[in-house]
This record gives sequence, C-alpha cells and structure tokens, in this order.
Amino acid sequence: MSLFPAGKITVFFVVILFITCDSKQPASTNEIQINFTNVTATAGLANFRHVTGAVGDKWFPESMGSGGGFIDYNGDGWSDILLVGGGTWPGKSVAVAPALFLYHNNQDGTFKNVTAAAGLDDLHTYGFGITVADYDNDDDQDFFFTTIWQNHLFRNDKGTFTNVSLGSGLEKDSFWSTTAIFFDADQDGWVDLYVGSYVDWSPENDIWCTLDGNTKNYCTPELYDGVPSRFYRNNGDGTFSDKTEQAGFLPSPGKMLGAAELDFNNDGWPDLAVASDTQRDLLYVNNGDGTFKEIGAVSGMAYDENGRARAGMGIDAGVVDKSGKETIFVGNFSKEMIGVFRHQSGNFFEDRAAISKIGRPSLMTLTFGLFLFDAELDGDLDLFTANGHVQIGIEDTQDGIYYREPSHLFLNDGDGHFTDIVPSISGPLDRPIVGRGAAYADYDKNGTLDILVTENGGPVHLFRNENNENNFLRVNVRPSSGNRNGLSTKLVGITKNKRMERRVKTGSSFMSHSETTVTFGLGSEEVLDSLYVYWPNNSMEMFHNIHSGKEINITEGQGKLAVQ
Amino acid sequence: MNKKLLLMGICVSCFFNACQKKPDIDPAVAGLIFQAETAFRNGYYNAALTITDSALVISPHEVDVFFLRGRVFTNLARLNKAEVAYRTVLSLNPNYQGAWFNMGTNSIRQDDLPAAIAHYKSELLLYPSARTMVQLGRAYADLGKIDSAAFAYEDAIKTDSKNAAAYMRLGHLYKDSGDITKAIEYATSGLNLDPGNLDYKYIMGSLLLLNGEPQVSLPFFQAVTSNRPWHYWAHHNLGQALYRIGNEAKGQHYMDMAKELQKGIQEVENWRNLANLNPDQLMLWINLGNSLKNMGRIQEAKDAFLVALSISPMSFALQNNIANLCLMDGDTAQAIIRYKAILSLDSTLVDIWLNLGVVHVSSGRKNDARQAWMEGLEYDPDNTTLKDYLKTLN
Repeated sequence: MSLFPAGKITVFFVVILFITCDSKQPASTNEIQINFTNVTATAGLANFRHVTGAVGDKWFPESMGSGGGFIDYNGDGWSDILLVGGGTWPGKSVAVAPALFLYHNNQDGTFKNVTAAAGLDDLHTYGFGITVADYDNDDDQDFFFTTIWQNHLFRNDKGTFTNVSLGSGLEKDSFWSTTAIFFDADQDGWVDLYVGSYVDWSPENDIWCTLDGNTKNYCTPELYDGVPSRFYRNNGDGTFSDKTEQAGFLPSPGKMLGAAELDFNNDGWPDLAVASDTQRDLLYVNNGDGTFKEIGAVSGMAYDENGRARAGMGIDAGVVDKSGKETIFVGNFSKEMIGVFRHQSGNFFEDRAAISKIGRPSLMTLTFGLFLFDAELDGDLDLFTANGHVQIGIEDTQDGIYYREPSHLFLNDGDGHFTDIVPSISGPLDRPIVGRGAAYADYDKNGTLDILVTENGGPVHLFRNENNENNFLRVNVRPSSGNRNGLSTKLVGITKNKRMERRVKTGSSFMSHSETTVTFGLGSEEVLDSLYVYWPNNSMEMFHNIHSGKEINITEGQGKLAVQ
Repeated sequence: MNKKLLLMGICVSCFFNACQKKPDIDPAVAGLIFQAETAFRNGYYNAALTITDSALVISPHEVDVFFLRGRVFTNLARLNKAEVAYRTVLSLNPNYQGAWFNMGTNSIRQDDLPAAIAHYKSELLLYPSARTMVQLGRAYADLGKIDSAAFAYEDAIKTDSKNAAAYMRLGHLYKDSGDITKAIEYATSGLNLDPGNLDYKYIMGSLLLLNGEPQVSLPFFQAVTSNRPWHYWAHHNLGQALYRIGNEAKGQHYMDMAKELQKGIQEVENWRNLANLNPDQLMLWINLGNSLKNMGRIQEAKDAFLVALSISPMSFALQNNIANLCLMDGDTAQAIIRYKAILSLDSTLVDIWLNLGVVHVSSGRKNDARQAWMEGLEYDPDNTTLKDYLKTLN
C-alpha cells in the first residue's frame, strides 16, 4: 500500500523534530473506558431550545430539525458553539425565534451567549444548517447558513459578523436548503460552496398525511418533488457564481440532506458524496478540473443491496480499516440500515453494512447526524450517530420504533468491524432524544473529542469525552497559499502499529460543522513516528518523531511544527 | 413490509384451504361451499361471498363457511372483516387449523408484528409446522428480535429439513450479521431444495455479489431477468456484476433498464400501499392493476382488477381487462367465460364480440369465431375490422 497519492508530488522539507511533553502513562486497551458526561447545563447551554414553529398544522419542515456545530469565531484557538434556532411561521406565532445562537468559549468549560455582540441577533428566518470556512481568505472563520427561504453568508470581521448575502451571488435562490459544504473544487485557493436542496414544499402546496387515517401527521418526502442542489464557484472577490450545470451537478434528484468531501480515487482532487432522502445517493467524482461526473449508481453506493433508494440523512467518509480505502457511511430511516460502502477499485464501492457489523444494530433507528472520529484515541475512526424519528407517536403505530432514540457509538476494532457500545454503557448517549445535528470538537482542549448534538424542538446537548487515558496529537494545517483552512489536506500519521489517514474538511454529518483540527489517537504510544502532509496542491511534507499530548500548527513549506 | 416481501420473495398468500369439512355436514351446504370455493379461486369474490351468505342461511354456524369468508376478505384487503370471520371460526371451533395462521399473516400485512407473533404461537400450539415457524421467525426478524427469529427458523428446519424458506431466511439473518459465508451456505441449501425458485436465485446472486464474486453471480441474476423482465432489482444487480467484471457496456445496458423499471416499481408500490390502506377505493385498484400490467406482471394485475371488479361489478371495462389478462396468461377458458359474461349483460358491445372471436380463433375454433364476429356485425354492420377478421377465416 502506497503512502503517496497518485499524481505529481513535490517534497519540500523533511524535518525531524522532537517535541518534549509530559505524556500520560499508557493504559492497556482492555482498561480503556469510554465515558461521556452531559455537561450542557454546567457549560451554560441549558437555556437553548430549538423551535419548530409547530402550531398544529404539521407542516413538513417542522419534522426536520436543524444543525449546529463548532466555530472559532474570535480566533483564540478555542472552539465556540454556533446553533441554529429553528424558526416560526409568519403569521402563525406571536413570538419570533432568533435564527442563530453563538456561544463564546470561556476556556474554563463554560460558554457565554454572545449572539448579539457578534451581530447575529437580528436575523429571523426558518433555519437549518451551517457550514464554516474562511471563504475570503482573511484568516478568520466565516459561515454559511441555510434556510427554507433565502440563505445567508456571514463574513467574520474580527469576531463580529456581517451578513453579506446581498450581492454575494448566493442570495438569489429561495429553495428549501439543508446541508451545505465548503470545499475547493477547482483548487484555485478559494473555497467553493455546494448547497443541498430538499423538496418543493410551501404552505400553499402542503399535503395532508396521516399515520392512523384520521389525524394529520408529518409527510415523508416521496410526496413532494425534489429540488436539485446547487454549486457556487468562489470568484475570489467575495462573490460566488452559480455553476451548478457547468460543473456537472445537473441533473440531480434533489432531496439532499448530507454531503461529505472525500478523495476515494486518491488523485488529489476532492470528490463529493451526497446523501439523498428517498432518492439514490450520489457520488460526484472530480474530473481534475473542478467539474464533476456523477457515478453513484454505477459505483454501487447509491442504493442498498437490492438497488433500493433509502432515506439518506447524515453522511461521512474516512479510512476505517487496514485496506487504506475510504469508506462512506450514510445514516438512513428506521428499518433501513446505515449504509456502509468501502471503495474497492476504480469507481467501484462494496457494500459493507453487514460485514462492518453496523447494519443490524442500526436497523431500527432513524439516523440523522453521523460522523467519524476517534472516540477513545486508539488510532481508529469510530462512528457516532444521532438518532430520532420524524413522526411523533410512531411507537403507537410501529412496534420497535420510537420517536426518541438513544445514540449509537460504534467503536472500531481497527479493521472496519464495529461494536455499538451505547447499550452496554450507562450515560447520556443511552438517553433517548430526538437527535438531529451532530458535531465534534475538543472544546476543553484536553485532547479528547467531545460531542454536540441538537434535538428537533428541544435542547442542545454537549457531551464531554472523559477518556483521558490514551495519548493524542492534534494538528492544524495552513497552506502557504490558497484556502486558509487547508481544506482537502490529507494527513497520514504513522506509529509502530497504525497508519491513520485523516482529511481536513467541512460538511459531513447533518447540517452541522465539526472542528477542522485533525486529531490522531496514539493509544499508549507516546510518539507519532511519522506524519505525512499532502497539501491540496499535491505537494507533500514529512515530519518524524513527534511527541504526543500537543496541538501543533503546520504551515506549508516552512518545514517545522509550531506548538499551540 | 413490502421491502421484506420482495427481499425474501416469500409468498404471504399461502392460506390454508377450507378443507376441514365435518363428516356430518349438510350436503346442500357442502355443495354451496364447493361453489363458493370455485368462485373464489376464479376471482369471483362477490359471488363467493353471496354463496357463503346462502350457506349460512341453511347452517348459521358452519365453521368452514366463515373460514372461507375470511380468505375472501383477505384477498379483497378487507383485513378487519377477515379478522372478524376468523375470530368467528375460532369461537365455533378453537382448534380450527389455519385460522390463527391466517390472522398472523394478516397482522404482518398490517405491520402489527406483536399480534402476528401471538397468532403464530397460537397456531403452533395446535399444529406445529415448519411453515408457521418460518412465519413466526419472519415476524420476529421484522421486529428486530434476531435471536428469536433465528431460533424459529432453526426450529422450522428441525421440524422439516426440506423447508427451503427456513434456510433462505436463516441465511438472510447471517447476511445481516455480517457472516456472508454462512449466509451463502444456507442459501445454497434453500436453493437446492427449490431450484426453480426465482426469488431464491435472486437472493443467491445478491449474496455472491456482496461476497465479491460478480462472475459467479451472473447466471443467478440472468435467470431472474429473463423470466421476470420487470424485476428491477435483478437488472440493477446484474448491471453491477457486469460492471465489476469489466463488461461496462452490458453493465450500463442493464443499469439503464433498471432505471426505467424503477419508475414502474415505485408506481406499483405507491398504488399498492394506497390500495391496501383504502381497500374500498375503486380507482386505487384500477391504477394498481394498470401499473402492474404496464410492467408485464400479468397475474398480479389480474388480481388487482379482480378486487376492483368486486367494488364495481357492472364495469364492462374491468371485466374486459381481466379477460384480456387471462388471455395473455394463456387462460383462454377464463377469457371466454368473462367475455360471454359481459355480452350477457350487454350484447351490443362490438369490441367484446371481436375479442371473443379472437380467442376462439387462437383456440382453433373457427366456427365459434365466425359466429362471434357475425354477431358483432349485427350490431355494427359497417365495422371494417370485423369484416377483415371474417375474411381471414375463408
């Protein structure tokens, strides 16, 4: 298995660094205890409530929920939290809900609501998702916000935000948008934007749906026409151009709920996997020039094993086994397994839902948020899913299905076989919720990855990861030119026994944003033997013997690591 | 539920027959039951129900009559009425074979899995059989109770080692648990017991494809696509298999075919779900029948139109559609009966005379055909089609 991607590689520096640190004593794998604590209240997030705007009409968007995630809005290196408040319907509700909530990380485990101070309190809409990136390359984190009407682009100006939607080229469409993802499709150094669209719904064309034949309930998307998603090229001057058709994103069935950036064919160009609700999932392979070809059906990842489209929600991709190939994970409806597709060769993927042992345990739950992360810092990517049904009272009509559902935490054995440990541990992950968005970050800077989960019509949950036995190394990257977040940078960490491949990316999960810092779990190893950094421009740098327990910054071409 | 049906291809309409007649049954009632059973088997559901009504006038507590009514109501998707009939059966004879089983199967159709499990268990207490054990396992599996499902399938195999469905379903459980090798072993056993079963062939092909053996999977998928040209899933997976062995052109051909078939499949499933939810809605059954007919699923289309006909018994168009489907299915006798039934109600329907003549010709009965077309010309002397057809007989 080659460590090098196909294509031309320029090696700039080979630097051997020794960074001393006081790593903790290693613990044996058998002793590792996974434990999460619900710190929502102590963190100061207990007052947040997502609002569906429901007043009895059972309008379709009310069942969708929304996302949230982590953003370092003030550039202090600590992850702050940005949440979507949901929304109310004009003329239907007296109270108008704020669209966004921003919480400042006080660096002591608590957060403070700074929505107004950051200039985000005057927007009222019906919101769904966020994606975060430095779209204007001015070294701060901007974000894009999707809604059922016009979407919004917020520019970060030293910790306060300005709504720059008007004139940006992103404000023209007014569809029901869901998950959006920033990525540099043409690798020109300016991040582009893919905005998922759902269905053609409005109060005027709302359809009457029922579970029991008498009372109205929320509809499912089969009844509405899908709206194709859109792709916007970043012009590099603060504006975007709609290049959906030119870039190869048409035709598409719409009903998109999740998107994950990956490079399955290892050609150095970012590809895109898209989860669609009751439509085939999509796989856009980059033609090497920022245009794409859709190969989902042929690749074998678009449908279940019987060629049936499922209700795709959240999505993520990563290398989870010794094959070194990327695997795509897609959250689906109840009575539909989580989709697991590992790249095989060429443009083909193999269905690994059953073999990975994820299929059956996920069969009865409805998964929205879904992401890969190293939960116990053992070097393997594990899978977290936030679950919750869309139909209130579903348990009255379908046995074994519940409106509120526990989360899944599938621990990886290191070779792509997973075990859901939630049923065997007590704690917040086992508590049934109406889960929707999900994201991760090391908000308390102890090296472990913590989880943020949103609920539909309910609170947000911050689950602190209490596993502090294993060693870690956290890495931030910054290309010398081009997109400041280093999106699409691939990092490969090598220890005595592990090869860990990670990508810097936005998107994934469901309408949510996780930190872009890469975390390598080292288990009992105190040193990362080698670190290979494959920059978006296809150059590569190597670093050796990096001690654990630190967060380091790597700037392309400088050949050294800076400890944060 | 439909997904599971299609996945495993297990027929859910395998009802017990009303064949448990008591030795002291009134001969008149026995005769009526025979007539009702015949009417039911030929799709004359209203007639079957009417005849059972007559039987009940003579013998109000005849248990076989209620059992037959339960089966008719099931075919008409009136599951609540079927349940009432089966409950009556059990109140008259708590040991009646098949009553609990049929109630269990109806409960699965209604997605009431705990009820299905209870019904199958009741049946097993009275009459242990592999078939009931398989159904019990199926209900457990749908409910997510995998261990119980496996136990039921294993019991079925112990009871009847030649029960192919039990092997196939057990294989499915192993597949879901990630043990593809074991799944293929069980599917092989099932297929060996029922080698002509196209559903099993499709399952075997899918398992082989999942196991990274596209070349080996090809003949299984090809057997399904050639016999069921509407089978979207086999076309899709055949396309996938061909792509994976490097035959991209053929693979794309089957993927394209699958894409076309998918629309029809979705349409059928939508109409079927709606019709089952609203069994009194005539147009839903007609739309379901038309969708099935368009896909070439003749027998299923006929079944849908028969339900529609029970709602609108005087519909000549429906009767004609059914007769045409009988003809397409090679059942000329039924086609003739149905054409004649239409003409007995309205003999001026020239198109029906024309169709009747065509059936007679296809059966080698030229004189009957001539007579039918001549009758048609009496009502429409200028009908050139009839004249042309008549010329062919000379």
